[in-house]
Amino acid sequence: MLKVNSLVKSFGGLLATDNLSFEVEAGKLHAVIGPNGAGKTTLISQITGETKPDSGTVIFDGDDISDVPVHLRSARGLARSFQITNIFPDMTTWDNVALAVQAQAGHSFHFWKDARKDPLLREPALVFLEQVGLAKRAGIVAGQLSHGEHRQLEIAMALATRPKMLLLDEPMAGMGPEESKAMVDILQGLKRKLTILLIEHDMDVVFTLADQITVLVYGRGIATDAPEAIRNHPEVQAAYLGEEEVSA
Amino acid sequence: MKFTPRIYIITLLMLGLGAVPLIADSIDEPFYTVLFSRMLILSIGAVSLNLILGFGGMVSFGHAVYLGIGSYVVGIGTFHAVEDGVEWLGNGFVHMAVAVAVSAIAGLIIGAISLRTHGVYFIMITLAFAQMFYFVAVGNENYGGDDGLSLYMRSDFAGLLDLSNDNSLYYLNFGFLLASLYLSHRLTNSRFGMAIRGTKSNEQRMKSIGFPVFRYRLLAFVIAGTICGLAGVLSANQTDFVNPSVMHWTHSGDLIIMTVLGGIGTLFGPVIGAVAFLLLEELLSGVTEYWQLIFGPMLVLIVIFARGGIDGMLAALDRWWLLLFLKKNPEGD
Amino acid sequence: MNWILLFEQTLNGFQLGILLFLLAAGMTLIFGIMDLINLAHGSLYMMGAYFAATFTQWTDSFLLGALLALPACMLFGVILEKIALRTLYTRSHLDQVLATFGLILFFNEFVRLIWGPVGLDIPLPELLSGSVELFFGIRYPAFRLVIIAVGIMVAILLYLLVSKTKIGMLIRAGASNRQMVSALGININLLYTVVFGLGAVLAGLAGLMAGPIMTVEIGMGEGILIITFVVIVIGGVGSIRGAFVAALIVGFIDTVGRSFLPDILGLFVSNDIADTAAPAISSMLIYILMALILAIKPQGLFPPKGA
Repeated sequence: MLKVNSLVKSFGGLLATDNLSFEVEAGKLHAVIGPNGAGKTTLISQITGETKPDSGTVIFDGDDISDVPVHLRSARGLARSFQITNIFPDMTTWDNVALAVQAQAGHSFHFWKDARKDPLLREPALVFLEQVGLAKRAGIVAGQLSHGEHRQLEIAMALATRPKMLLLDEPMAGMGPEESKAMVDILQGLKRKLTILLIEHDMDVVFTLADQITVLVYGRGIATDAPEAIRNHPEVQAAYLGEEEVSA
Repeated sequence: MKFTPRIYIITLLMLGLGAVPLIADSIDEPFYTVLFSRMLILSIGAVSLNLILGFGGMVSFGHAVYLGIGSYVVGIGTFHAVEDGVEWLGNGFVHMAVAVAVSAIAGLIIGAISLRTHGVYFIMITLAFAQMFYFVAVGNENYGGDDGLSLYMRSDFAGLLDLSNDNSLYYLNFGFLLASLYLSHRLTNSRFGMAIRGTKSNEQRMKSIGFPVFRYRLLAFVIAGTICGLAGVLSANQTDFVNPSVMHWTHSGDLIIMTVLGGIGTLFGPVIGAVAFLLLEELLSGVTEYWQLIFGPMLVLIVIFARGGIDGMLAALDRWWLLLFLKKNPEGD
Repeated sequence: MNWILLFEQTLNGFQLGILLFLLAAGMTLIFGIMDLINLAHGSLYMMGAYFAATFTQWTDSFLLGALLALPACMLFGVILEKIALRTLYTRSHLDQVLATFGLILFFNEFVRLIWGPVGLDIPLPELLSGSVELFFGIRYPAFRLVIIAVGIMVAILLYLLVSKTKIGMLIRAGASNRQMVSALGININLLYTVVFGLGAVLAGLAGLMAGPIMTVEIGMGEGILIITFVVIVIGGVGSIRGAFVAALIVGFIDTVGRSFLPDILGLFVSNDIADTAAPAISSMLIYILMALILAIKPQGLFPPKGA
């Protein structure tokens, strides 16, 4: 589904992405892990198109999307959730997801019908809210949701774009144990239905969910393999033993 | 729909506005009709500005430009209608059609350039465009230049309406206000409106879920300008006079004040704001010739303390009232 | 081609540019560091002129009047900052625009109340009111040369202040990263007050120098305020170097453009059309320039690093 080929990106003198290549297979949950500063955020922004790599290509669903602008990548089926909550705070939860549905429903040059009463927008939105367990909070103004609920909303909005692949940027960040468990359940539920690229620090979550793991150290991919193989990989162990253990 | 205090007050306001000429005639003070007529026109301007400022978050400091465009269409049209005897140039329908066309084109050009910028740059560049139009008008001696142009006649609506009758003009203005309010209501709740609200709420997110933000903003900008252009046509008829100062940036500032004072992003806010602003101006200037000494700081205080404007205060009043109501009737509705 | 006129107008352009620079430097610092859009900056300019007019009247000396007006402006600015502007730092730009707009209305009325509606004159001392002979027998008003000289001195002093002193370092740091500076434990409120006071003095200086050559009148700040905005947008918000370069360019284009445009237009169209169109177009020149620059370099000519 996603192929990253020889990606290189430096900022000034800092090499953030060092000739990185890996492949995410369709229908699998592929995790990218690495110590702090490994270049995970830079990698994501090159995949979403916010940053242009110095060299290398990004192939998505068979097409080279290296030159495709951000808002068109979403149209091709690549959806992301944000690390820092990036929702519409002054609109309701339902409105938030409905907007995402609306974005997929062709152009919005419709000036007359009340969009908030349009079942073509509201019903699918509710379905996505149910998938992430937020249906009961549909009428609440999004700014008032808890942190964990924000992350859930993020995913609902990403799902509303009916993606072929979902890019999750540290969905567990800042969540307590209950919220984390809820999120893991949601992700388990989503796993078979679409391809997921997961960037995450929490090792327990990663090893529970991932079909494949890529380990990133200083911008370089040192290993891509199944979880058990990664766990026993000598270089990976060395990289993590040299750093403070991040996960619980 | 519950009849909360806010709904009562707004209904009273609109009914009151509709009844002004009748009341003014009965107490033989036609001055009030003229005063409130002006409020109606500026309300339309504020309603149009609210579309882009209140709902879209675009702080345009050059919105009065369209009032100027509409005004000058009437001014130039009636001038040539009388001076050169070209009758159809004085026709009200022609004025409106031309005002719509010119405002739309102006909005398209200004928007296409300005909307590529953000924040303070956007404010500055819309201000700059307004100044450009202002200077063109000032430099144009043929149509009065700095002194402006007196109208020989008002727009001629071919027997349908006699605008020389102040009451007729009043109801034309009122009709337009109602129409623009209804249009605003439909627009802001439509898919288009939701897209615009989204870009105000979180532009980056809108882009990443796939909305081509620029396109929608530009269209909103053009629509707002066009409605304001029509208000300009009404304005020229109202004052029987056309003059560059209607496009001065301070007048754009006045429109912004009205919109924010009333409550941005609400339907009736701009009307409340325009009425409040002009009433305040009228009242205070009656008290002292140095009324701006009071008005200025009042503005500062309102900005600092009354977020959400007057409509926001009414909404707070509602919440307080509902609490009281629920206390009295614990079973509730 | 009237070279003498061109030369004179070029000098006039620089002189206008210097006044614009003094206003723009203050405004761009205040915007860059406190993220405050202050429409009332033009009012500070006006107060400078009015203070100077009054003090000159009292002391019978323009020099003394000017020297007294400067600290008065600083005090005025500091008081304004503490009372009204401090609360605006955390507010949206829209709120700032509205609140400072209210301040403009207030100050204009305030001036009318105290000094009356009629404009004032600031008489120049003998030494400065004549003209000086430059090369090739060209004569140029002495005072305007003084303005240019003072402006260049201030520019140099500002440059030294910003690049060589500790305060300057804080200013530069604050311009690119507000939170860091306050996290470092610097008294951020004091820094803001100092910066605003500095901006007020610069604006007042511009006002008192402009006073003798233009009338001191109510609302004199608003016209030049808009042009100042154009200058900082062109120069890059937050950059003093940008303000200097942009101010000179804008001053030059506005002045030289105005005087030569009818002739230049006359080369392409009939003199009648040129004469009608020229005033309108010359007023628009600087805005056209701003639009062009924004189209090519949206951050301005010299955006401060990290902006």
